[in-house]
Amino acid sequence: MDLARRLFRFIGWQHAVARPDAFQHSHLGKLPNEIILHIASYLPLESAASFSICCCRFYNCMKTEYLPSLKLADPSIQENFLALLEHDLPMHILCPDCKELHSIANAFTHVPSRRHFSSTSTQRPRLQCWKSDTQHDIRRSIHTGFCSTIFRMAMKTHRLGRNSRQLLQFLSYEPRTTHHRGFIEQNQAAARIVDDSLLVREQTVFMVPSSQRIPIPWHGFINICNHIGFPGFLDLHRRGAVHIPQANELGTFVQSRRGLICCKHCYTEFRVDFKSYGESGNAMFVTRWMDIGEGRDPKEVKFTSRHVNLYQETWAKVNFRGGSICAAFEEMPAAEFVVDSLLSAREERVLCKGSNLPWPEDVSVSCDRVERSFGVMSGRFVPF
Amino acid sequence: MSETKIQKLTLVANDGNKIEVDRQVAEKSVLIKNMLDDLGDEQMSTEVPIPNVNDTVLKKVIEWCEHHKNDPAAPQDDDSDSRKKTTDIDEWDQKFMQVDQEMLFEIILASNYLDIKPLLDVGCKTVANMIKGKSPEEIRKTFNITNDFTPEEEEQIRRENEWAEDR
Repeated sequence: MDLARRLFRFIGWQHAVARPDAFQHSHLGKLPNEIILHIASYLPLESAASFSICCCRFYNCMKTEYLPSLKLADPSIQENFLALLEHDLPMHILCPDCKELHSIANAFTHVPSRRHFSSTSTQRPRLQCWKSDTQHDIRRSIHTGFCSTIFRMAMKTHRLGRNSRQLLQFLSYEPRTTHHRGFIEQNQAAARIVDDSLLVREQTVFMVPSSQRIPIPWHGFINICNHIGFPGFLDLHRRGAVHIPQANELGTFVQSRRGLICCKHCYTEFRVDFKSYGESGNAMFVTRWMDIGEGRDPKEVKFTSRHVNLYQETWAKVNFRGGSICAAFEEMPAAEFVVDSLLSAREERVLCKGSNLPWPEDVSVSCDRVERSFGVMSGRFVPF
Repeated sequence: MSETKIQKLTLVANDGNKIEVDRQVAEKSVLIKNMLDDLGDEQMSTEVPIPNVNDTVLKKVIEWCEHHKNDPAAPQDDDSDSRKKTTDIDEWDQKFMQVDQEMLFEIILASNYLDIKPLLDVGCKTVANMIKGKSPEEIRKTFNITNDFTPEEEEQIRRENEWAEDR
């Protein structure tokens, strides 16, 4: 029985039998093909192409007329057509960079950490949307696992009332720990949609041995967005952004004198907090909240304001109420957010255990500078 | 040779109803005009059967011809650059075309049969305006068309035309 069905399918019989009558309930079917072609001749190319793929009869009548012309048409016409097509396809988005439809079912192939595998297995070149993210430095201004293509997919899925959980997971990442010389870094990011806008929170925790007078790592940098960055941790203090306490000033509770700080040029707010874990070390928390927008219009300010722009004088001001992004993400007033609440007991244990790493002997950190000694190692003059 | 040119014609719809019209109005139809020219007034009966058009549609078509009887004849060449054709429709014609879809398509079919090019154009422009800016599914909804493609065929069309990068 199954064999017979497969045989019928193979010879195309089943489809022939199953195809419904497109014009069973439509009067348009009364018009002969010559009039259908006459109607199409009044349409702009993108609409004529859309008309031509309504049903099999129109497709057979017009496919050689409009679809080949569309391929040779101006890119803006092709994009207009694809925008019409996207409207009907809940599982595709029109990529504004690649100018083609990307399948939401294949969202995982856009995850930055998985691209390497998919591109080698299919020999596919880097997509234009991936390049665009790199050009605009999106991963620096949001987080390293972020991808604007998946962002658009998540927002479309959400708008259609479908489950966007998997896509939001692609825009988030689980806590990951990096062991540096003398300190530990732990990062995590989460994405959620609130009021039809994508909000992202990323937290980085640096755990410094309790023996250190100043509870900050001796090297590294902090990027808040493409407008605010601290090339060294002492810059937080030097630029007056954040008060860096002495280790002996810290209580076991989280301290933040400055509270939330907002970027004036993009929808980002952040806070820097410190907490003592006693003998296990002192932690510095950098937590950022970002509003990325609706993902519908590639020119939306919430998204484009995050693009890298070297011409500082052209940075436009944005207006939002300080604390509103944090409050929307956390579903509580920003002042009530407990910074160390994101760490599970396990992650806290990892941080505390790792902070016993030996601090480089030749590095000392004070409030205004980091001093490093130099020495000869394997015949070369190197720091430490 | 003195000729008494016929001034009135009686059009007979396919349901037998007769409608009397001025010759000038009837001649908006190139089919009728050619028939009169070919047969000559002597051999021409004043009753002209229109077998493909029913009474209601024929009346509607005559209404249009009456209104446009003094319009200058349209130039013959057109199809040269069809894509530049405008879909602007004059106000009276827009109101005239505010009918249900069945009637609209009947008017188009009748104007095609009777060879009334300006009316055919107005009808086709009206339909074109209903299609413009719509997605395939929206067009189907507008005209109550059933999508007879299988999902596999749709995907194949997208792939063949390189619209979708379905990996």
